[in-house]
Amino acid sequence: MSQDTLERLRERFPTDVIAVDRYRGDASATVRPESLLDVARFAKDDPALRFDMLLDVTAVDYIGQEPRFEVVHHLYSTTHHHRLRLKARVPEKDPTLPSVTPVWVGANWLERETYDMYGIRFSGHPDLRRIYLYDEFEGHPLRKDYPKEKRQPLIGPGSRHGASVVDEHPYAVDLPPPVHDKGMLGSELMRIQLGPSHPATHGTVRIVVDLDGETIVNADVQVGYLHRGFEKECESGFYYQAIPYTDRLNYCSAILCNVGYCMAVEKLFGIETPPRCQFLRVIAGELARIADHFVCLGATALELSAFTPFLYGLQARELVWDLVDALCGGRVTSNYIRIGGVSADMPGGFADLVRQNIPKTLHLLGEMEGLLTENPIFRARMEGVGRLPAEELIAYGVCGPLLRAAGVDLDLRRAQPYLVYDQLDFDVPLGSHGDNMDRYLVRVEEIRQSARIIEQCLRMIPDGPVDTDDPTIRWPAKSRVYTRMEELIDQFKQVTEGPKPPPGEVYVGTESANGEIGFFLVSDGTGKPYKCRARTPSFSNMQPLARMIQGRLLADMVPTFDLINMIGGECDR
Amino acid sequence: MATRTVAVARPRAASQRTTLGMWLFGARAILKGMALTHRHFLRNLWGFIRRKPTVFTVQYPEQRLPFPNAFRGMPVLVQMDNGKERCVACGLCEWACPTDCITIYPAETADEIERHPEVFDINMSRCMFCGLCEEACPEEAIVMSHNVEISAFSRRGTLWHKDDLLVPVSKLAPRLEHIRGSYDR
Repeated sequence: MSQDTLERLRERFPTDVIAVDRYRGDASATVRPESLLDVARFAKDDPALRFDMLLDVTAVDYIGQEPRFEVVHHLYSTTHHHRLRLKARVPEKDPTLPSVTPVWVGANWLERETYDMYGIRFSGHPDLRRIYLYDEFEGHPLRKDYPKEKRQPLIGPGSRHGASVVDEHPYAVDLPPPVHDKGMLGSELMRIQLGPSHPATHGTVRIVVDLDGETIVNADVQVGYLHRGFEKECESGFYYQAIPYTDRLNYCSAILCNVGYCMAVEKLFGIETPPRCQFLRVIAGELARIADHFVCLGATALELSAFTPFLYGLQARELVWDLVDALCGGRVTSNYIRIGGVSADMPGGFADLVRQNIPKTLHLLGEMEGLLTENPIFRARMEGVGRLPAEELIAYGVCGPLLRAAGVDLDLRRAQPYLVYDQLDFDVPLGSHGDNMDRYLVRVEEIRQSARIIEQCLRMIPDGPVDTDDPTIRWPAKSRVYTRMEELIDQFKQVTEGPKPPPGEVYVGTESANGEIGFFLVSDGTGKPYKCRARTPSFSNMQPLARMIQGRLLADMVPTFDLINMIGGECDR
Repeated sequence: MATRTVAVARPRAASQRTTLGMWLFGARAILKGMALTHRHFLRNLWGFIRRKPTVFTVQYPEQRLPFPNAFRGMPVLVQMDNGKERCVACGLCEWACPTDCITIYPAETADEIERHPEVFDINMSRCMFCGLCEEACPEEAIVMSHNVEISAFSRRGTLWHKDDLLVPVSKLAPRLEHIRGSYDR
């Protein structure tokens, strides 16, 4: 299918498409920068391609080459379920590329991030501000010539600019102009800042809203308060050293991030993992998904002042985390998956423990539902709130429960089955209205389906090794390291040099609890990734929040924000 | 096997009910919720009276839960029976550590194992208990313990030196057994 994609692109744009490539099943096309917008428009509108979702925009810095930067767009088609990587090279002197925001509105934040991290300017972008870093930050940190150790003063009194910054911008931000600048009664609009540390913005995010009375006229969502340079860290360590960092992307469902990253590295190596390992990954991943959904539902209830369901939700999550703890050795940051395997097999009695705890969890879920689903106050706050049409959500790159609540059948476990999901029997819940109530109900149902998947996996899991038997990837068995010279040398080589994948670039998208988490890896043949990019669902799901709450009451912001389930670590990386 | 899509069942919308029906429905939902919380309350109260607590909350630090064998707490150094550390200062844990929280100065001794770390510091404010040091160690000399109560009043207090990190091998038996099982395949 992807061959067709590339051929079709070449056929239509014989001179503009410079090169096409297929590596490990990933189709990628390099186009001339000036014709990027035409190609993008064609890729979106052509019925055979129909790439209606822009998953990711990022860049790769090939320092020393000319043109230096390669801007990479990852596209996905929600009708044909195929992918395309669209690349364009821009020179160091004038790193300017046409913005694809006219085609996919979701490119807005992604291009801002690329501008922030690489200094690539996008002509025609409506609002090209820095997104993660502050305006006074000098340089672009993901460029290869920006040293990782470099420190810069933070803004505020005592910084490089001294107090003048505060004087010039007294905590004000430049928002795009509001729809109307006078309130209903002819009064001025009131600007309110929610966050970065507001009880309702768990995680750190700032939402600046212009209010006309209680109605939100204009909103600007500002992320980046938890930015800690995940990608830079990954580039400076070996492949195996990034696994604990992926735990800290989505700390509510760390294992799903582990799985996504390790699958990307395995694709780079071109290896398959043994069946038992794949089943273990599914079990661990679904446990994490249950925990994540419980946090989301519980926090939503809590912020609507329903404290009891929150406690039931956390109790249920605690039961799940007991299982994760017994399996992985850590509750939140599990560090369980390894490249080519998992860190440990199931401990004895684990299956019984699961069969004991999961029914209790589902019972608690039922109680939570009993308190919430039909409660008139809860319903009044949820029904019809935060609605956005499915087409617009897709254009924003929204995926996961949010999109499924709008009735779009997109679950990568079903659309592009990976691991052993094609052997399992489960339902994909879909909503009909696309409002917060549907988002809530979809998550509730997904917990039940995850429990079903775990039960099936426990029944079907075969015996056998949990690691790939490729000695260039997995570390040698410890008993032999203790006693034999060859394995000892091997262990030293593995730890100090890391496994070295062949040069190439891959993208793997998996279904995490909030949507597609994708890892884009570029290898230059050394033990460290040349580029490690995480496409995280929280980031793209947060983008349409401003649209969802526009014209609604301020109080509607809270449940909408909660059901997006933004995880700061994942959104800000 | 098969996956299929299902539509989630929403409660009936207000437009489909009369005002009175809406009120009755709402009142029923609230009564149902109150019955549920009261059931929990009465069950816990009965457990309290019978002195068999049914409350899920654990009264830490008076009560503690057992850790599973796989649990990773802070990393410690294995102390052999002669009181010396098993570590030979090869530096593999230093290499494997993603956060660079381990510092080792190797030195030579007159003992049978002639290499040892003169300095072995772990900066616990940076350590994230990932366990890669344990996985990398070729001597079974650094292992993850079950100790997580390592808070300190100063940043200096989070720097653990070799003498603080040494734990007798007899106390680490369950963990050693676990890692022999999981890293040996």
